[in-house]
Amino acid sequence: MNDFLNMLMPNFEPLKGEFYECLYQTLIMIAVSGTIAWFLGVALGVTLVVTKRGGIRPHIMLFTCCDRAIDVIRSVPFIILMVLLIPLSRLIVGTGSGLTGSFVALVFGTVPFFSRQIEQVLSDVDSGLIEAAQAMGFSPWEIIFSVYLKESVPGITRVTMITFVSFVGITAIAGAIGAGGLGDFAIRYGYQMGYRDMIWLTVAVILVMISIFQFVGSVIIKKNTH
Amino acid sequence: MIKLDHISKVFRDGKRTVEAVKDVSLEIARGEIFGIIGFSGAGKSTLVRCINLLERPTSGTVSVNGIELTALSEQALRKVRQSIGMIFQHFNLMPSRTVFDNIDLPLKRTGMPKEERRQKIMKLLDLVDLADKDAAYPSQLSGGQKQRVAIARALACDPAVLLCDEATSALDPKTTAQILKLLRDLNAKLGLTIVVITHQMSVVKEICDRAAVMEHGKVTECGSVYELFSKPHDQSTKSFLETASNLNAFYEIFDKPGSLADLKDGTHIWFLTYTGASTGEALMSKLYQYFKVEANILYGDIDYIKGEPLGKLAVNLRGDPQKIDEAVAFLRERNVDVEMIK
Repeated sequence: MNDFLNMLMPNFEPLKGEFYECLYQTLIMIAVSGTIAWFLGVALGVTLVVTKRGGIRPHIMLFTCCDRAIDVIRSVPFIILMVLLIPLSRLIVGTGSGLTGSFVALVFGTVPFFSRQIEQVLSDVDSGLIEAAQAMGFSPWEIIFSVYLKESVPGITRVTMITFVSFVGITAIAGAIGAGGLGDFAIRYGYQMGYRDMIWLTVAVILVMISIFQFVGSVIIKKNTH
Repeated sequence: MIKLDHISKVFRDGKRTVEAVKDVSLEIARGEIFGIIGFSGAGKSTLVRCINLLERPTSGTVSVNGIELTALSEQALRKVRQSIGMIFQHFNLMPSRTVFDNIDLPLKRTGMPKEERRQKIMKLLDLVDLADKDAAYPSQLSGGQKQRVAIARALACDPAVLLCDEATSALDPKTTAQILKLLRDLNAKLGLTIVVITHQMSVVKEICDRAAVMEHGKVTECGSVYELFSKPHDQSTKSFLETASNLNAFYEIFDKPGSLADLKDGTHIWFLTYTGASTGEALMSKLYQYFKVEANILYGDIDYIKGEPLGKLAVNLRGDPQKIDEAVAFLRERNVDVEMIK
């Protein structure tokens, strides 16, 4: 088994330790910034739907601010956004570089795209359901949780899966500000050292990660679609 | 039970303003089935949404069960809404929840213990004849079954009022009849006050005690359904009633040359409307027997409104002109409404 692995990836043995560390960094980026970005994205998507004209709590000022902010942040390429956000990151997490320094940039890089998709999903909820809930005396919070979000579980899962793929993409870019991760590993050994086998390894690991995520997602969608 | 006092509702969309409801005042009694009818766009749906304040009227006051809703805070209003059930044309069941959970939705919020809720839901399902469907999802039900679930959900918090917004418009005639029967039973069994919004004349005829006719945001006529059908005063009521019968087909041939109604001999066509007691009498044969007046029937229809017959005839009367006058007087004596239409 080991011989076979050695033959397939001659450079793996000496780099094993570093590879696991990079994998760990990627997983931390996904777990920490992914979770934060998911909640912020859902919250922002809900805010857009609730406050827009004809929403259950229209608030044109708030809506316009969120709407514009999303468009502006979305227009900045992630690698530039990262550098742009260094001062903000120092303010929030105390550092602008390294693994911790990547969190703020990753969140800002994901939330605008994700919240737009959440907004789209929630807008697809039949307005009749909202009206029925209002007629039953539901408060706005109850409508958000038990109608908008509950009825959109398959849609939210679907856009989470889509966003996850591009999110993994930007965690690889985050290597540029010293966050490490699989992207950094691939650049250092695959590109600078020219180890093709290490490129294949990172690709395979990322594919497995995304496949697992997609699989869990489709199970959730299947269970919640009637 | 429900009192609408000078309700107006204006929608503003940029520079355009649409007055959907114009100064409507209505009073609906406890235990009554009240219909609001009119063509689409007449403002019926807006008006019914003013009753539970899904649409807040621009001016006027709404009282339900002695509580002035228009004066309540949002929070107090939400509480009151639990006592006003509502069902919709497209049922509006939550697709991700089972029938059981759909009915549980309003109950959960009341803080009732779980076991008590379960019993209540099963009782409600029994009431709407769907006791075996508790675990089904809405997508597995037929339209009629979905509306039954919606009715059960609307009744979950024991409302005093049930608002039905075009509740049968998406259903086929047979299912419509079943749903209407269910509504009538609920009205009798629970003393539920029901407000029915519809453009289907047959619905009003079938279950309503009283009805209001709406056109261009205004109530043009309001009264007992039998009165509306037998003696419509307003032109909009008349035109609405005509759509519900094949009277239109008669009017279409009315002016066509060469048709039955194309009279060349100076005789006239009379329109007779007769109700209740006079229906049974063989009026036409009596006209000939007493006055030697021949009646050629061009159009005839008998309707049953909440079980009471209402007849409509268009006849061409031939005979001695003086005898015809006498015959008409005779008919009027028998409570037949007679009108010369040509």
